[in-house]
Amino acid sequence: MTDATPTDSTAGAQPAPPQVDTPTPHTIRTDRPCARCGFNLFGQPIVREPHYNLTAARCPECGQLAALQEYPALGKWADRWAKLLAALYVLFLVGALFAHFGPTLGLTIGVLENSNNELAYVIARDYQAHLHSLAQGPMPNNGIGSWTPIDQDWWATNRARILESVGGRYAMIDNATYAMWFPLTLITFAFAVFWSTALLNTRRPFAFAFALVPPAIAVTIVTIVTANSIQNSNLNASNAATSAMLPLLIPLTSAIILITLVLGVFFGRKFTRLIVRLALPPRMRSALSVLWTRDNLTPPTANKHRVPKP
Amino acid sequence: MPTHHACHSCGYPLSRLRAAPDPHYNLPIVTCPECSTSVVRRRDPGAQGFRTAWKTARAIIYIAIQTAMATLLTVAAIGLVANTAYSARNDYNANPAALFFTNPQLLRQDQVGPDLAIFTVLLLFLGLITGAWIRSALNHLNTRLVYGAFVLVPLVFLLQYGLRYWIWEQFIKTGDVWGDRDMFLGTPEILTASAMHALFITAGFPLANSARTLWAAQQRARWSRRRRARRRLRDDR
Repeated sequence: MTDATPTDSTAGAQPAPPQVDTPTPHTIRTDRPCARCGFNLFGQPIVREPHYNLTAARCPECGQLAALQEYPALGKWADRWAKLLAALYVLFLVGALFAHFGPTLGLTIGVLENSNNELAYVIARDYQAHLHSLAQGPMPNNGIGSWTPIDQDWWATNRARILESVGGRYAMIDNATYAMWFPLTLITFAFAVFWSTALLNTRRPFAFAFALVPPAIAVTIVTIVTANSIQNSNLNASNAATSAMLPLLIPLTSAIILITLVLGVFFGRKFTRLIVRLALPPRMRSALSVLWTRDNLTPPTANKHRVPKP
Repeated sequence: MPTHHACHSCGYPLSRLRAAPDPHYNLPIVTCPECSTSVVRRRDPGAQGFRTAWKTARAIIYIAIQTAMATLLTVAAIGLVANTAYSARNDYNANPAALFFTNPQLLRQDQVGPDLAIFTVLLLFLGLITGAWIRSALNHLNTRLVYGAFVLVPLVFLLQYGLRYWIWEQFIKTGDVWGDRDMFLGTPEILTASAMHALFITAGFPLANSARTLWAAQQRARWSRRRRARRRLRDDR
């Protein structure tokens, strides 16, 4: 840096500085965005500006001066903080995976358990009638319920008949099932929007694959555990009903999760941008402008239709 | 302690010098008092990163508060409109608005407790808060649209019970009853209570205007103080 010409405050006693930039033989050879408009200054000539004799470049778009000699960065701490924040963000994402997994597992179990009450009662009643016919005794009125023990062989023989007698598996889907599917849909959509926004640097198919992991594990666990429950010796009416409904409810629940995930992941960023536009005044939106720039969109500006009050 | 910053030309320590925005480019420039060399002082990237992170966190917190408030105000409106309508219909067998103009002696004498009065006062407070919120925190949006949303969402939610019952009664008539018969019969009371809610919201608008005027005056005073301080700094240089 060479000596500077005096600033305006001392200019009164000295000759006025030249008001044109003095060219140097160099140009900017790296990417450098303009501080005002973001235009890439690559290739712009480096000049000495007239007021302070600083080496600088001028933005050809907006005329903003970009000073090229700047205060040096503060040692290693910026890098350390950046690494720490990145690690915390990864931990946060792992926590979010578990947060997604938990409710999905619970609600999938809830779908199976809430849909089997009526069928479990029918099975228990039918089995009690079977025992009554064997013993030739009076038909018991109590002791019939979800936890009534059922004989494995009897269930294997009569399963198809009982399902037919109640009108098939579809007839067993009632309001209790919908009462579980509804929150499952809401939670899945909320997490799909979250993954679509949190994994901003990934392509949407990858975000979809990532978001699919917690529900896929949850549904697999529920399927395996429920399918195994029929194999053990302590079979009861509830287990039997759940195993009977499993071939319908698991595919339907998986389909609901998949459709919601697809919608949430692929429209999630739009949804987030809408929320930001609705909730934040324009001056605060710049902090989240990456939501627009990442998808090559122009960040929102202040509402042009509003006339500012004097 | 300020970070080390020496003059590029003569080595003079510049750390203690304030970098006031210069009059030409508005850049934070420090001029060496020894050799008059000028350099631009950039904010430290670490501090700048924290500032950016804080701005982002603040925006996210602001969104969370807006979402929570919108949900709270809507749910409260649903509850209070429904309860006002229910109380007027079941305790007084009258329309909630008509009760304001009715001689207390002519009201049903067997009604129990001041439920309707409590619900109406709460509805008034809710309307005032909603109106103030619309004109302050949601002032960047079209006021009419936001106002319409805050009035219509609770109303539509409450009316759909009666509508579903009407559809069931008119066209289906078998199986489980859809919707709610009481809500269907209480439709005039719900509409009236919702109109009261809408009216109370408009009463909240002037509150926000006064608060915003005070806030703007305070901000103007703050910025003028800053401008004076900057001018003094420039004059000192």
